[in-house]
Amino acid sequence: MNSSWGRQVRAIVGKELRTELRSKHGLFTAGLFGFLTVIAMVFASYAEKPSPSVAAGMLCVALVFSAVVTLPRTMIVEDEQGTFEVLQLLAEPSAAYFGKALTNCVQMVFASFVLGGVFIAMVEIPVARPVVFVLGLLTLALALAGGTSFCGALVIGATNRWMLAGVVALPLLVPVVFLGVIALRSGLGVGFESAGSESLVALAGYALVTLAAGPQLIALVWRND
Amino acid sequence: MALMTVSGLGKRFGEQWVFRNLEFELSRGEVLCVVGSNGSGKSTLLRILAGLLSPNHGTLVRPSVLGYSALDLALWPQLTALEHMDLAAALRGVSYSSEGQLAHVGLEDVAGKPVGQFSTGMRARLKLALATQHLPEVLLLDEPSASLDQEGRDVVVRTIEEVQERGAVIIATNDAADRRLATHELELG
Repeated sequence: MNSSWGRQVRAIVGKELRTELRSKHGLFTAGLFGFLTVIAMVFASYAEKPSPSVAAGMLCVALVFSAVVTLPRTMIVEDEQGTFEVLQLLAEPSAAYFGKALTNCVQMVFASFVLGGVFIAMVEIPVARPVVFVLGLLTLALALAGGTSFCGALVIGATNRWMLAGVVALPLLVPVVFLGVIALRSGLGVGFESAGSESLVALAGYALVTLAAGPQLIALVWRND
Repeated sequence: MALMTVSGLGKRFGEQWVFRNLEFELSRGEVLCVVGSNGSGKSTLLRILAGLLSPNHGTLVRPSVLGYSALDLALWPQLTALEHMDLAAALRGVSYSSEGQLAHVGLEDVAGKPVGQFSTGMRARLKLALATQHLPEVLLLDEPSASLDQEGRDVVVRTIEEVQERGAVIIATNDAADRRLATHELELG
């Protein structure tokens, strides 16, 4: 990693976090949406405690929803408010992508641990394998951040960006949902620990692949021809 | 030696050519005014020269250190003028005096104010400061005097003259006052 690239990534992360802390759009949307989903699920299963398998699926759904409604925004908003051109003038495309994707990772990891903690506390399910559960939340958050950042970059310049981001997210995030449920189920004590470990590796691999492929993609949409 | 060389440059959107076979060279000390009616391709040409668009035909040799400011270039509304300057400096890897550069365009008193609260003229001044922060060899200005008061216009003239001393300037405009600064003119359309 050369110093100018690293400096650009740090500058983009700083700018993203600063604008996010001021607008609070992502935190508010992800927090509200995820929290309401968790509350709805807890109320729905009030009379009978959900099984660990169902609880894993419910938590995964809450995290996927909060990621899909929030994270593509970091890419799309530049296109919508016209600031994408300033970035084009100042930054390397890969540095801009990584800066934004890293911000999404930070945001999603934060949201996952808050929502995961609230959910487990409210449904009162024992976490049988805490390390697998925590790593499951972490890798699921990173995979969701990687996938949604990729979606965001893919729809830059499109007319119906948000609709397209949702459509593109569906096939991209199905494997993440599948692996995330397995990892969280394992963390809650369902099935073999080895299955959970394998899905953790797969989720981490997915996050790495999307983060590595993103710069190639953004380089293609960088010039608005 | 030419700072910028444009040879056989052409751009089309769909099947419609905006311009084609453009040829010019730009040397140190020159101010080129690109004039023409609305839709003649003035802004498109400047966006190509800035590297924001690709031409469909021709070649372009341009310096690596280049500044660009345009009326429709957006800024981040949540960030302050000072934060814009700091961000641009970090991304470009240059050191600069924030107070000095913002004072140069008359924005020192609003350096800590979010750009979302700026008027169009104040944004234009900030864009000029951003475009010249890294001492570009060629400065590209799209409608630089639009929406500016007399004080703002004086800032633009002073900036153009400063860049002209070390490099060259290209202005896309139909403004009579801006055209008086030109050493050459290129008419499109």
